[in-house]
Parts: sequence; C-alpha cells; structure tokens
Amino acid sequence: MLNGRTKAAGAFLLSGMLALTACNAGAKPDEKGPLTVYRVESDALYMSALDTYQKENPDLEIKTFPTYQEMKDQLNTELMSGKGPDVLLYNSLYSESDPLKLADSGAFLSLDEYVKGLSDDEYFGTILEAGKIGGTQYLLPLSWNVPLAYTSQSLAKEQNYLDQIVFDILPAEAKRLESDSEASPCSIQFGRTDGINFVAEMAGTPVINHNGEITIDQESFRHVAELTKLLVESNSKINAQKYGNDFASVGSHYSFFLENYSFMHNLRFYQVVFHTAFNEDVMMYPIQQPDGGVTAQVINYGAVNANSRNPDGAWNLLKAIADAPCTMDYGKYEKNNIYYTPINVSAYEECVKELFLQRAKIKNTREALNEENSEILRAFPEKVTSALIPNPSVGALVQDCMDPYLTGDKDFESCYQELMSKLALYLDE
Amino acid sequence: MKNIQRKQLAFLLPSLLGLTAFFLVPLFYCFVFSASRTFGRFRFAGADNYLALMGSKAFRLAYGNTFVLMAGYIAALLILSLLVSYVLENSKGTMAFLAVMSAAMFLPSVLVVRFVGILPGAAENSPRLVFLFIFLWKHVGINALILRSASNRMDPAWREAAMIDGAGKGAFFRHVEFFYLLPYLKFLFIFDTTCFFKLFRESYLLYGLYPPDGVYMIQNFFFNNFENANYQRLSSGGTIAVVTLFAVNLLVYKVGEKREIAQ
Repeated sequence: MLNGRTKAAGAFLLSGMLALTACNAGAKPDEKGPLTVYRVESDALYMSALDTYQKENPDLEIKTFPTYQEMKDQLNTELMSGKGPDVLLYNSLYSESDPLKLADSGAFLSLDEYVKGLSDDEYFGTILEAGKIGGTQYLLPLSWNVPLAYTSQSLAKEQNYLDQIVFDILPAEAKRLESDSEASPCSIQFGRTDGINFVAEMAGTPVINHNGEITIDQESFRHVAELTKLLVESNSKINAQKYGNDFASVGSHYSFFLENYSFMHNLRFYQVVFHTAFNEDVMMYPIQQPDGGVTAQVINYGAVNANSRNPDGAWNLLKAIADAPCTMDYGKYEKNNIYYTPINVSAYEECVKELFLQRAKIKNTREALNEENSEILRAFPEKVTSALIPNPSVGALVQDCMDPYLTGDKDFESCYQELMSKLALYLDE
Repeated sequence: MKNIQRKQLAFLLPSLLGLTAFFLVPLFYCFVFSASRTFGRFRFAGADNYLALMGSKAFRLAYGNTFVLMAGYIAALLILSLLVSYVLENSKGTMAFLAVMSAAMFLPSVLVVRFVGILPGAAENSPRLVFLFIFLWKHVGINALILRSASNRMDPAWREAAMIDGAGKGAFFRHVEFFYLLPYLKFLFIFDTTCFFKLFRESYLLYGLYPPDGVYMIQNFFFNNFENANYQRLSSGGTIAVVTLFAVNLLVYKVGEKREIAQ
C-alpha cells in the first residue's frame, strides 16, 4: 500500500507532468488566427502567387526559407507539437517530402469536399487525380510537367521514326549510331536524381501506385532498367566530350534527346534553335507508353495542415496558387521564372497564346511559336492519360538498389531482389 | 527526524524536478500520444496504433533484430572484455594499453566505415558480422579498462590467501574475481546498451535509410517514421521499446543481485 507521503509525491509529479504537457495547448479551438504558410525562396510559383495573394489579404503570414531542408526541419518539429502553418507547400523535385507517408501519418486534411467543387472545364482533371492517396484527395497539384523527346524532322522522316513511340526509337537510334564515336546516340536531362524511377514513371509502370502498392513486375522493370542504362551510358559518353549539357550541344551532338524541363517554354526554344543553327524543323515527341498513354508528373503541390484552425482559408489560398497566372515567355532560365505548367485551363491557354504572340530572342533572332507547334501545345493536355506526384523516398530507394546494375557491378536479378525487399520494408513502416 | 527528512527532500527536489521535466514528462507525453489518432491534438485511438504496429512486418523485424543482436553483441563484448581483462597482467603498462584501446570508442564513424570498406564484400555479404566487429572494436577497450580497474580495487589479500590455498589464476577468477566484478558487469551492460544504439551512425553511413534485413533495427524504423512525421507510430514504438529495455535492465539487475547474494 502507498503511504500518504508517497501518494502526495505521486500526485505532485503527475500534476507537474500534466501542467507541462498542457504547455502546447496554444490557441483556443474556436480561435482562427491569421492564415500562415511557409515557402522556399527558390520556388518562383510560390513566391509570386503568395506575394499577390498577400496584397489582397494582408492577414496572411508568410515565412520564407532559403531551402526546403530548412523548411522541413522546422515543419517536423512544429507538426510534432500540433502546430505548423495552415498551408503546406511542396515541390516534388526539391522538397524531399514523402507525400504517401505524410498522408498516412495524418498530417493532411482531406480536400475531397473542396475538390468536388472544381470543374473539369477549369482544371485539368487528370492532373488533379494525382493528389489522391488511398482514394482520398489530400494534395492539390499546383503545377505539372511532361518529359519530352526532341529530334529533327529530317531524321525522323529518314529513319521512319514518325509514328513510333520513344521507347522503341531510343534503342534503335542507339544501335544506328553504335559505331559513331563523335555522336552521342541519345541523351536525357533527367532533372531528377532518381533516373530509373523517372523512366519507370514515363513508361507508365511506376514502382508504386497512389495507394502505396508495388505495381512493377520483374520483366517490365528489366525493360525500364535496360533503357535507363542505355541513357546513362550515353550521358557519361557525352560528359567526356566537348559539351557539358544538352543546351550547349543541342542538335549538333545529339540525334535524339529527352528532357524534363518546362516543355511549354522549351518547345519554342528548340523550334528557334533548330531553325537558326541547323535550318531544320524540330520534332517533339511526348513520351508515350506502349499503350499510347502519357504520364504527367506533378511538380508543385500543396496540402492543408490537419491541425489548421482555418481550413477554408487554407483552401482558398491553395486555390489562389492554382489559379495564379504565369508566363512561359522568358529568355533564359532564371530564379524568378515559373518553369512548370499551370493546372488551371485558362492559365495554360494564356501561356500558349503568349508563346504564339511573343517573339523570343534566341541566338540573335526573334521568333514566336509557330502555328503547328501552338496546335501541338493546345492539344497536349488531352494526350495526358495519367499523372503522379514523384515520390522522393521511393526514388532514392530505387536508385540506391539499382545503381550497381547501372554501373555494371551487379546483375539485374540481385539488384531487383534487394529493391523488392527494401520496398516491402518502406511500405510497411 | 522529520527535519532531516525535509532537508533530504529539499536536496532531492532539484534533481526530482529535472527528472520530471526532462525524462518523465516526455515519456508521459510519448505514452499519451501513442493512443492518439493525430499528433499535437489528442484524438483517442485506443490501442489502434499498437495494433497497427504489431501488424507491421517492418516493426517486428526491427524489434526482433534489435533485441536479438543487442543480446548477442553485448554478451560477446562482455565475454571478450572479461577475457582481455583476465589475460592482461596488472601493471602500469596494462592500464596505459587499455586506455589507448579505449580511444577506439571516440573514433569518428566515417573513419570506421572507411576501414570496413577496405574489407572487400564484407558490408554486402555479412552485415551482422560487420556490425559485431565494429561494436567489439569500439568498445572492448573501455569495457576491459573498467573491469581491469575494478579488479585492481580488489583487496590483494584475497588473491594471496587463495594462492596459499592452492588456487590458480583461473580458479580464483571463476570463484572470486568474477563475482566481485558482477556489479561492474551490470553497469557495463547498461552502458553497452546505450553504445549498441549508437551503431546506427555506422549503419546509416554504410547502408543509408534501408540496410539489409539482417541489420534493420529499431533506430532505422524510428528515423524513417520521424522523417515522415508519423509521430503516433513513433510514440507507440517508443513506448514498446522503453518498456522492453526497462524489463531487460530490471531482469539483469535482479539476476545479478541474486547471484551476488548467493555468493
């Protein structure tokens, strides 16, 4: 039995604990407070859209971080104590946040009710679907991109590549130029560190699906791995040569190249470059899967903090970012340019119009997007059959396991087995 | 008498407050939120988090590996440390040698991992052996030094008396010295437990976030869940780990106590 003094000491300790744990209670439940959001200074979309929104809504509190890592460090601590900003903004290329696991942890509020109100005429529905995890819309895609392949029309005609898909052209082109030491058969600007995962996504066989299930099989993944190896080998070949990157050597050095940058801006850029430098017409290929589908990747996306006291305000802010107008008419890649495509249909159409009307100054010439390419861009969103948010955790895991295969140190089978074992752990954690 | 108790309590109070603020409260907080659906704001989830954790193969693998490897590695370390302490003669040179050996504990993990990299294929083919090697390498010196110092504190008359009675070095160790060292071994067990958890640094440098299944431990599980802000899972896992560690330490303490009393 406990004596009186022990009981008193116990009660003292317990009350102390309760008092200390109550320290994080914060605002009262009915107190909305100002709307808060974090952003990273290198993300042009968030920088411009939030500044515009703040002008109309001075109550908005914005905290700007120099890097996503710093933002993540602070967010992790704040989410742990039930705080954090109302609106969470991410970038699938740089933020290294795992959307699947974050949704699983209960960090995000379901946006189902809000997204129901968005019409397909106003927003690209296929892209919006990428924000669903396990059937619930936790994330709102804010910008997207599709990797594209470029070559010259004369080569495409000469080699009969016109009606073929990129996944068949690349090996054929590599074989054709096998003995040519000067030319690099094909190259890729992954724009991402997880090349093999990226190729799997482009091939329409992503490693895991929206519900966190493994969707690859050994044979389809072998095909993806072989193709990535081909591209990586081509890239290392070019690195040892005269040019350091695709932009520097475009057209003169590559017969066929793939890239993962702003496709709207770059179609006009390559149209002009091919004309002026080689007197050629550029040929643009969306990277189609064997079944004809095209997968888009979401770049910017946002969510509402599950602990937000002002979810309606948070949603309005997210929607304002999605609706923010942008321009693809810029001379070169700079920090304050928005590279990726808006999910708002009118904003997209405005960008196409602008590219068609504005003559870009490239290589001492001025040229606007031609009619044919404008039509390609206008019709392009309809070609997109699926979209996904690249998962950096899965990407890093795939790259770690498959790197020895790409460098020739291990065979495909052992790397694949290791990948399956680690993926099972990741999904089960 | 009451005055003395009050004075004792007054001296104890700062330490008690520190213990409450920095140990008991976080533990309590962790326990409370292990039964919550979300973190930060409490939403009662009953035992759901624990059930989900028990259903997770990753957690079961991490938990099993951690405690099996911990038992094996610490047993191996204590045996080897006793052996080193026993073999080395008691002299100034011995202590200096052991002090130098102890320095391995402070070696930067990067250096240790680099050394392991010299052994071709070791990290890929025998991760458990690699970890055992690292654990022994880093800690056998400090363990043997503590045991040797403890032995040196033993009354020399005991050894002389045993020798006069015809006991050799081995018999003296088995029947006297080992039991004298038991409280130190208990302390070393707890000390080595904390050292074992530090193996995560080498694990991370060697294998990243997902090491081979054989050495996937609870720190990997916790670290990955922390990165993904899954604090409910972290709390329930943490509670299970704390309870297990407490039970293991209590068991070791009780068993050691019984052996000491019996002796």
